[in-house]
Amino acid sequence: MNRASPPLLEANSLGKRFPGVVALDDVDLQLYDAEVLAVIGENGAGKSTLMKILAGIQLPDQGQIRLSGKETVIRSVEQATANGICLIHQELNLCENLSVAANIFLGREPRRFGLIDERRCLEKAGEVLQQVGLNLPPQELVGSLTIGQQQMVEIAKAISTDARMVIMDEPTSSLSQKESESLFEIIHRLKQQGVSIIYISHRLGEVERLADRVTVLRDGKNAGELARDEISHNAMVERMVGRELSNYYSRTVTESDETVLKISNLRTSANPHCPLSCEIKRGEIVGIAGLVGAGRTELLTTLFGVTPAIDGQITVTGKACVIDNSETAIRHGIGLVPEDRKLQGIVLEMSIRANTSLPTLKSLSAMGFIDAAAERALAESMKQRLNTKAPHIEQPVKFLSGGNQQKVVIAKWLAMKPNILLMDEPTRGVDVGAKQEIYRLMDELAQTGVAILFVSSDMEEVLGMADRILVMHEGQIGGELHKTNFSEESVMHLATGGAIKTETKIA
Amino acid sequence: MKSGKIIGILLLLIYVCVATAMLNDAFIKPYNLQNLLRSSSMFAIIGIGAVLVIVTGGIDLSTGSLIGLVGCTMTMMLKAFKENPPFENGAWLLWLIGLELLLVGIGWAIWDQVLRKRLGPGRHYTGKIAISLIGIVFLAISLAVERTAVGEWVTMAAAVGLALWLSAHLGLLHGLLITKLKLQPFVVTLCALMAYRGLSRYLTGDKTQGLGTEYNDSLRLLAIGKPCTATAIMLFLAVIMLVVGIWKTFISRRSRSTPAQKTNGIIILIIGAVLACVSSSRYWDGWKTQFGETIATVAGFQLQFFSLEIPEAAVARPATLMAFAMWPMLLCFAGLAIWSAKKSWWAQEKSPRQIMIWLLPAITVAVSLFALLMIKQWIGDQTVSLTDMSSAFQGSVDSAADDQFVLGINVILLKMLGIFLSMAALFGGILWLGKIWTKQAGNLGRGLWILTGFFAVLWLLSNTAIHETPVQTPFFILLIIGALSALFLNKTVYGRYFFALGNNEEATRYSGINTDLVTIMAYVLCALCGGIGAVLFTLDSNNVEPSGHGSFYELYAIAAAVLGGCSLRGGEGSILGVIIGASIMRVLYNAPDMIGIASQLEMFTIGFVLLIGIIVDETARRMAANRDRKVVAEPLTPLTATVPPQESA
Ligand SMILES: Nc1ncnc2c1ncn2[C@@H]1O[C@H](COP(=O)(O)OP(=O)(O)OP(=O)(O)O)[C@@H](O)[C@H]1O
Ligand SMILES: [Mg+2]
Repeated sequence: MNRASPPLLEANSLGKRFPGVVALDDVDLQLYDAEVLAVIGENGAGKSTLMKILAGIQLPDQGQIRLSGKETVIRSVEQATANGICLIHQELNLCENLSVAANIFLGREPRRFGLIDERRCLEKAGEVLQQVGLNLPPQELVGSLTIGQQQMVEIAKAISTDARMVIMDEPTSSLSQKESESLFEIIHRLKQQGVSIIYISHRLGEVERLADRVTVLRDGKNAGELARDEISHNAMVERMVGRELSNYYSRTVTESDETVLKISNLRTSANPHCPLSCEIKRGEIVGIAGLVGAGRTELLTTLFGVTPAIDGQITVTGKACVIDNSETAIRHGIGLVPEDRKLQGIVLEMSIRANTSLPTLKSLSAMGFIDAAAERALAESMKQRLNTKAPHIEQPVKFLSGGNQQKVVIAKWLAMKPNILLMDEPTRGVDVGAKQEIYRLMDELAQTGVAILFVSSDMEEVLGMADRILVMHEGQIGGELHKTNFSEESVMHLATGGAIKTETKIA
Repeated sequence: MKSGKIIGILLLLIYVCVATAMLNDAFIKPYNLQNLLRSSSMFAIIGIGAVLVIVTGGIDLSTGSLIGLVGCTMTMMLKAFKENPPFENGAWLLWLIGLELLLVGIGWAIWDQVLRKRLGPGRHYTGKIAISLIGIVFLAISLAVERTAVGEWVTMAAAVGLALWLSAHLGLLHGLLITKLKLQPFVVTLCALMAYRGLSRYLTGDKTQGLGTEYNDSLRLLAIGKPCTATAIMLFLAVIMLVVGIWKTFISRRSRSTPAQKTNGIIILIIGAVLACVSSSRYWDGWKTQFGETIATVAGFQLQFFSLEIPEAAVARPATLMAFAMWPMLLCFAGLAIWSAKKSWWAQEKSPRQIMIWLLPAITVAVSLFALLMIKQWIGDQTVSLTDMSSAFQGSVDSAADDQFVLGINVILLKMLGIFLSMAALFGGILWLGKIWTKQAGNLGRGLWILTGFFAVLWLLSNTAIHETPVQTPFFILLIIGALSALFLNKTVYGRYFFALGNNEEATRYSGINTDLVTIMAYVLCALCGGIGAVLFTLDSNNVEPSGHGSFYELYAIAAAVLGGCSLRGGEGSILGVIIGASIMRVLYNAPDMIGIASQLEMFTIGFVLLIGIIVDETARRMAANRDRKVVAEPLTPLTATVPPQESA
């Protein structure tokens, strides 16, 4: 890093406000050659907004941006790309009906005689995919990939533009451990090639590993900067939240013998050859670990009825039942916090209020007419309980930051008062403070007797929160771990199809 | 939906009316207004159907053919019933519907509970039991009335009932095909469009079906009855708006916390007051002999003061309330404008850009209005026939005298182009203003804009003999359907589901909502609106031509919905919007006729004006966006000083 020369990118006193929200207020940022700069902050601190401004998607209300010392106004994405800035969005932005290759080269298709050179396109896409360690035929449709794979495609797309500055907005939030590892490798490689990277993440462990420097934002303002040797979990948390966080995972186990959910020989449509069986007790928190593509999400969606089971039995509180749509699932007291919040979790155009009440609307109504007061009260109380950051409950959810959107999704299901709560990556994109709140909430729910089944790719989270871990591997439940023999190694061992006999059945 | 958008298109409607009225005052003659109101109402009804489907993210192209098919069957049915009444009266229809409901209710219960074993806690029986019960009630009624001779009207009711029954079932068919077979709505309804048209031609043997004069005093009153005049309606609306306005501004606790709600309340209040003044001034005709004389003078003076042109007939009318309320009302307006200007305009939106943004479209509107006036002067009362036009296009010199050419271009052609272009510019300018309205919230601009619209309405009204303009039954049917559907969309659970489904189907499904049911509901309701429209259109025209009755109506409906603020991607739409949209479509349709252009050009006018209007609007938007970008490069004032007031309390 050469600090003497002007920084590659320098933003001075950037400001941006939205109706009712000051997203950025006088924010400075420097990015030097070949460094990894981590930008951290709570949900809604303005990280994504800052990045969108740098990438030309939004215009600042005030402030300047200098590229290598030269003042520049970045007005469009094309201009940003021309200046070597490339942003990988927090939310996926791919065309589902196009192939992986077509998505990677969208707008920059290699041409021959004015037509798209299909072959070269596939070839080059294959190379880039190889680089990011994604073993996929480039002609595969993006819609058929898992979210993690789609995220890798986004990254491949960014790499293929030969950018000098790559901005990654929470890239790992939908990646599995393995995929994350290969992403880190890519980041190292890029750094060696002289590319600078802005890295946004709520997983502070990653930041500790990767970052050369950390810039902290709080409520749209600069809240400090940490040099390489100052970076530590506690220092970061303190600057982000303004106080120290202790007792991160709070779990008070309550024993119960009553089985609320029992599945036997359940065969999901994704993995029809793997019958699944397990039991969950009242007030128990069960984590499902495994690699992406191990069939974890499919298990949850099957239990929730959105992808009906092919065969097998689901027993809810002792009664056998057929759950072939989500309506029935809700009637049985099952809720699902889905994997892809933008697509499945929330209705972007609708307000916080309307989203929160969506699954419970019928119970908030009389003769089919919505009781507006009750609905508002519900949304208001949920907003307070989850500490959602938004000016008011009428704010359309699309204007919320990623983590706050996740809180709305959780609020939706809390409002339903479920008996069984299925959670797919419950803390994806949620900041440390809010994560702690969600963990506390899960614990609280469990203590009131709710059985929670959650899927997570965050190993720490699974180990910290679960009373019992089911590890899935290639569509099967590879093994079960009890609190006494929790360890990262044993989970990984099972997740990669390791020997089952020794690890399991040690009840 | 945002009320700003609604006000935008309302102003559009007002100005299109103003422009047409300026070109020919026959436009606001009672007879024309009456027809316009009737046809707008009927199109608005089918437009509401289109909105219901478009909101869920679907589309229904079959409405026009459905109108043809239902119209044909209804006329045939009426004739057949006349000749040999089925079962003495129409009880069999009730019987049919009752039996169907009962079977559906029981069958559904059996399917769910026995065959699919969907046992579970909750109220999953209620719906099915309710359906069965309604079926039983229908059956009981049918048995009760079967032997009583009730008279001819029952046969008529049965024919109408059958028409609605048929259309609802066609909608059900669409819905089932779309949800259960996962076909695309576009494809399903396109096939339906062709199939129904063919079917109606086949059923009738391609013969025009007429009702004759037989039903003029009975069934046809549904479409052409004249229960009251426009004055009464305006008074009625005024009372409602005043009540709602007062509720929103002063009483409702919720609106006190959000300023947007409060402004809405004030706007409704003002419109209500205007309506009340205007309508009451014409309504109390009887006061003339007592103290109307002086009041009329005062009112006339006022109107002259604003240099509004008042026809003799209008001056002669007493204007009681208008005379009293006009000044305080205007003072209110001025006060409001100044207050809001002080409060928000000067505080944060001083930049000349803001003023430019308002000014440019306003100038466009003003200039195009002026141009229309000039063209009118030029044309005089001359009309342009089709032969004139064709000679103009072919430039056949021999058929035209020398004075018909200016610079070698046929005058008629010039005039026509002039009218079209100015109309289109007007349209675009107002669309543009409407957009700004919803985006940039300068209160002064809004106030001014409302004020101009207000004067436009005053001008229109001062030229209109509203007390002589009958309002026909379709308008009332529209009121009922509109109110019901607005309630449904905005206040009920299923209305919310409609919006959710249109915005994000997957998330809706993940929220435990039976999306199939919601979709089917949308198509049934749409077809039902189409069916009601079909009955009205048929009774209105009195004879049904199987190959042409209702063709293209689906496109009018969709256009009205889109004009009224629906997004074809789904999840957005409003009932009030579509009603205004349908009216705009009808006025545009009516305009060439009024201006004296051959009626063959009606469709051309609509297409042309809409297209140019949208082009102007879109170009303007781009220009504004580009300006925005340039401005950013300039240093701006410190941010902290201009944090907007928090919206919530
Ligand atoms: N288009 C918009 N309209 C209104 N408010 C917005 C808009 N975009 C962002 N905001 C608001 O600006 C603030 C900053 O949002 P931003 O997305 O930058 O947060 P973030 O730091 O990326 O949070 P997260 O970690 O949850 O992704 C939030 O309060 C958000 O609600
Ligand atoms: Mg973000």
